Amino acid sequence: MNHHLNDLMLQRNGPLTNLLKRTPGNFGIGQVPTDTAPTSTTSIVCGYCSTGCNLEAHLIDGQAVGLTPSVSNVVNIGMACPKGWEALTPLAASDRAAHPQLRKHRGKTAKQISWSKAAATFCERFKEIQKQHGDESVAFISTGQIPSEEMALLGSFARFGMNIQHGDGNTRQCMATSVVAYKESFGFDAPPYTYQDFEESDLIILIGSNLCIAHPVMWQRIMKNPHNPETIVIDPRNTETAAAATQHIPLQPKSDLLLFYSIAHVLIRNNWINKEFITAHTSGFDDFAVHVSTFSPDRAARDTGIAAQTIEALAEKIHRGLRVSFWWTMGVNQSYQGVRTAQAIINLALMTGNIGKPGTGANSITGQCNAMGSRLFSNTTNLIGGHQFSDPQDRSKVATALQIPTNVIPSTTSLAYHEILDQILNEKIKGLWIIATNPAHSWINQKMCRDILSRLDFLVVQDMYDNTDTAKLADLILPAAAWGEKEGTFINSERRVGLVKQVSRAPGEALSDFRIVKLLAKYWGCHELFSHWETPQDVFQSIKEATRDQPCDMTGIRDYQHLEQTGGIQWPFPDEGPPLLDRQRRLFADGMFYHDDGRARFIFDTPQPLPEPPSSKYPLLLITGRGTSAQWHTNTRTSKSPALRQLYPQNVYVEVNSSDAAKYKLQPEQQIIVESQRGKLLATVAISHNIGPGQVFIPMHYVETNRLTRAHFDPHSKQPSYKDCAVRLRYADYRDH
Amino acid sequence: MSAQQSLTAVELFGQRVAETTSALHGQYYTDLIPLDSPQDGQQYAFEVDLDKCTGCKSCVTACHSLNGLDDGEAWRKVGSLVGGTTELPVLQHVTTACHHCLEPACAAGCPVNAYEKNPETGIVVHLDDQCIGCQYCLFTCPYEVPVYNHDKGIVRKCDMCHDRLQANEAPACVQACPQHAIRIVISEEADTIANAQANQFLPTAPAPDYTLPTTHYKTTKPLPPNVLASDFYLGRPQHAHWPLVTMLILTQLSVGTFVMLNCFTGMLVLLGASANTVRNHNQLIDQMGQWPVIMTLALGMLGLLASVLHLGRPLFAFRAILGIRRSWLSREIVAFGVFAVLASADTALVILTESTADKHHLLQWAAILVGIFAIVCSIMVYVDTPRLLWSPFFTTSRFGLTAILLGLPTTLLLLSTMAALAPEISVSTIMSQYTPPICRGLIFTTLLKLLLEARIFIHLRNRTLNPLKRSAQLLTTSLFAIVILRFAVAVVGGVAMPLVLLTQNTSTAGQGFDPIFFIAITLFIWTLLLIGEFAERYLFFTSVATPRMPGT
Repeated sequence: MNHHLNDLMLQRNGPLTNLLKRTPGNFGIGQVPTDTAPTSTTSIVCGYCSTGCNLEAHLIDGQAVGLTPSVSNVVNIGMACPKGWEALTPLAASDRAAHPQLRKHRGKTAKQISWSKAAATFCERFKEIQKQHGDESVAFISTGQIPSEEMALLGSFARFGMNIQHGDGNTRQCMATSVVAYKESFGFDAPPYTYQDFEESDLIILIGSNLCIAHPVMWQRIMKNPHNPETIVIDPRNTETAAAATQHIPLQPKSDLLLFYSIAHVLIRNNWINKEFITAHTSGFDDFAVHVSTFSPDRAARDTGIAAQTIEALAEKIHRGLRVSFWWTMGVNQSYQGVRTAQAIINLALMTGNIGKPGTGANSITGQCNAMGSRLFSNTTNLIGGHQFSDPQDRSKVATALQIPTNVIPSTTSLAYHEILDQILNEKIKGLWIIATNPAHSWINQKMCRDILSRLDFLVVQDMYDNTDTAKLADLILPAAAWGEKEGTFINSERRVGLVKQVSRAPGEALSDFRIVKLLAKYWGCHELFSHWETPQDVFQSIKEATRDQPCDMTGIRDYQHLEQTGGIQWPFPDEGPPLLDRQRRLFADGMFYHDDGRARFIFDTPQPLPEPPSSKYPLLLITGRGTSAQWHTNTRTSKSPALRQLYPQNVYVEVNSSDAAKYKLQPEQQIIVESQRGKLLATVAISHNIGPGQVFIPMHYVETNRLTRAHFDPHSKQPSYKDCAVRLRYADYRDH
Repeated sequence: MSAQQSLTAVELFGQRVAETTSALHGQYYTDLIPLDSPQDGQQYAFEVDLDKCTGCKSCVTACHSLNGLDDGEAWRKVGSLVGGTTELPVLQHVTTACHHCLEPACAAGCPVNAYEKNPETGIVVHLDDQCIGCQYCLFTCPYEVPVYNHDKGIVRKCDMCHDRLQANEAPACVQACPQHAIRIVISEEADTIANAQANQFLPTAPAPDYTLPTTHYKTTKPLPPNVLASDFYLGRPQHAHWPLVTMLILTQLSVGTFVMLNCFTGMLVLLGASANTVRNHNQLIDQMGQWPVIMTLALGMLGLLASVLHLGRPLFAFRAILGIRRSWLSREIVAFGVFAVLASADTALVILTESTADKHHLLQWAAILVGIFAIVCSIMVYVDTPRLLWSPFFTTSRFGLTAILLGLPTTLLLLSTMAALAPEISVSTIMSQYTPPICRGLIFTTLLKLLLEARIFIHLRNRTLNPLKRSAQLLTTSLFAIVILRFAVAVVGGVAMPLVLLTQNTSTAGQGFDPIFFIAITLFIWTLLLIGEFAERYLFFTSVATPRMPGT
């Protein structure tokens, strides 16, 4: 009694305290909340970025109830970023697409229909369009967010079954530039590095790469580097990474090509080059040397805004560095001359012999979790396994590997993303199938993109949510199971094939993309083409076979169990090759590249001026990019997590340099219109020194951002150039209501 | 479809990690937690290496998920400092959680002793089952550490994962930081005190002398003198706390009126009423009985009831008595409780014994004194926070004058209404005897209060954006409409309408108005002033600038 009375007045324990009780997790995961103590655990590759972190899913009766970063994994070494920690929350969102939906009238609500009705409508409408306007009048846009097996099935059904001519992926927005740069320079799309290189460099040069925010777990590898490396960030903005680096080179936007040619100029002038390597393993150096001879640091200083002596000093650091590695991300890729810029970086690595050795390389850091898989298996512009549609030998090899007739494989390649949109505008493409991507938010010059999508006769969107900006425009919505609700493999930035497993149930009638495509193939009448692919693992065996004798040969991977046991395997791993001993493997140790002559190419071009330079009317240059590590691309998934929502401003903001703020009489936190020739948005002013004078920065995660951007593309990679359009700032007035 | 719903990952792939109670992450964080336990004069503390914090915010999400917190709830935050020049810009992220202070303000203010500083570890632990959800700790902690959980009706906060530490595991944030920027160290109490004396904590953070925070921020890069919190210019109106607004206004009205009704004789003399009026007064009050007092107390009770709505767990409100030795909130709750009991008992006694108003007895005086003390407690509840706006003068002038400003018209309204209802008293007596002194008092109090309230706008001229200027800015921007409303109703209800009554009263010797019309005007004045005071108290809460860690 006394005890109860005491409790009533001062209660140290009870139901509320118990809510936060922690208990040992039993599977090496340490203490966890008592109510989510797992009965088993399994590891799974994260479904956001291409770092490819392994996460340990905590399961109760097979259902994931929590996540921790996997321990003793070679990729993430027990760590994850906020998106990884919160990866399960978006699956449980209340607004998941749970049933197929058909929209009779655009702008009205879509009505729930059965899967049979959905599949029948899909086939009926697309066949009708193809009958009337030809096979090429239906196109598809794939993604870097689904496993390779699903991509391969999707691409195969689309191109071999539906006879679709044109398909591309959202990887066009992130990695196309690196793909083309590597292909032309090395002879194959082959990022040469392994993450261990971060720990073995003594000079790490990051170009247009905000690692701390975009790939925090990779920055962790730099922090673990025991050689006290110098880190140099080349970026117009003082990003989180620039702030954490030992040196920041704040060059003028898009002047990087000039800077790298100038560095090459200094290296050659001072004879700081590796002649032996150049002679033995490369071609085209002499022409390159002539080309860069005019790019003196004094000349470069004018346009880059970087003093000549800084450029000289940078070249000297590269020369003195024992193991120099170059890393680039979207600052390079999303550029109208991105391919040549990436190749200028590759050239620096080649001419100094900084390739093929630990801690070196010209290294492109990938964006999406399976962009690398998409590059090999999406069957859009490349035939499965990095092959050419135009090559009859490739066609018959792939047909054999996939166990399909050779004659179903077309000999023509596909148009690129923006060319597909152009063809919609030209009324040549009338039907479009979009899978796991959100162009109505993410495509450049958004107003035009939405206008183009509205001109389609039939738009199908297959996504895990039915309220994405693109799904809202769709005639037919196919509800897809998400990452964690299906199985397959991803390939990460360092070419590591990893396993994704089903650890959660999809809501309602949502199906995996694999099952959706199988269903559609059945209704289309071509399911016997793929009848031998009963599970994703069957597809894996086929596409693995298609990589035989390619640089990306992964025939040595036996099956999913093999991946499970090893925690992921990097390609190349041919089945007759050496056994897997080293879990950190890099390419080109022998100096042999993938061109027929085994040599890497020096490729270069004349730098081009900004297509839309700031003018008197639009005096500021807009840079877009990642806002925080808690936001992923169009924020479709990350916005569903209340924990992540706490970590970034909810409304769009624009970073303005303090001198421009004074010039335009802006106050902090003020609302201001940012306007380009194409559109406008209302943003909160953030005055900072982290953006240069004459430049402004807006994160890409806000849907408004791409109203401003200018649709222009790298001519080689067709990748949109998101980070260079002219804008102006003005106070909101009557025009804005 | 059914295949889509079956979960077989473990059956397919087996359990890769064997069953073990030890934490395999330990290999990464053994260096980040202390080997020993704190000795005398020592305690556990967070140490943050600012050079390593790059703002990835993994610590926040790990805290959220490894501790099983509710949606959007996390005990760690990441903010940032910005400054420098365009040539040498500075961007410094700062991760922050509870500082497990030597003198935790959360514990000092807690009315129910729900905070305990562990004598061995120094960890400030919150007893979730003891909490009544009053949220006073949100006011007293200068670092915005306690987080109120609406669903549970309680506050929760960082406990430094003390049970993890006990098992040689690192706290969630420590084990999740990819850059190993956070560690647990054993800190010397003497160092914490010395740092507070030298004002060494973190630039732009609230000064450490108030609570003696133990977190140690270290950096090799000196921050330039112009660093500011990244949200330095952000002005956000704070929560209005309507139950508290209601409670404060109604209790002050009640005490004010109770005091006036009971001390009217003195009050009338003070306000310059004629000797005749004073003589008639006691007689009148006797005729009316205790109804005005009962009405007054009812309004006060309503206020106390409203304050209960502010509690997440009102059933446990009785525990508030525990903190009476430290917490002004505790004293406020107890004082109002005692006031209600004394005043009711007094009234009951008067009714039962049919004693008369001029026979002041002990109970009555006790009620009056306790009532005034309760208002003092209310004042101290807000003064005893690190919020600069709520200074002793600022808060006293508001709460005290509200008691007078609402006490006067309530008295007039109650007296005139009672007169109208009681056939033996004529309303015109009330009008002629009470209107002049009360109206004069009203006009004077209103003008004085408005003047004091308007003083805040002086701070608009400050060069420094200090908390007072922030409040002034909020009042002239996002809260401006309420400010206009507040001043308008006060001028009409507290100056214009009383003037009308006064002039009418003087010109016609109290005979000019129809009684009903007189009561209507009185009611109008009362309503306007009540609205005005509600608006004033709403602004009191919403316009306050709160101290917090930079950029959070």
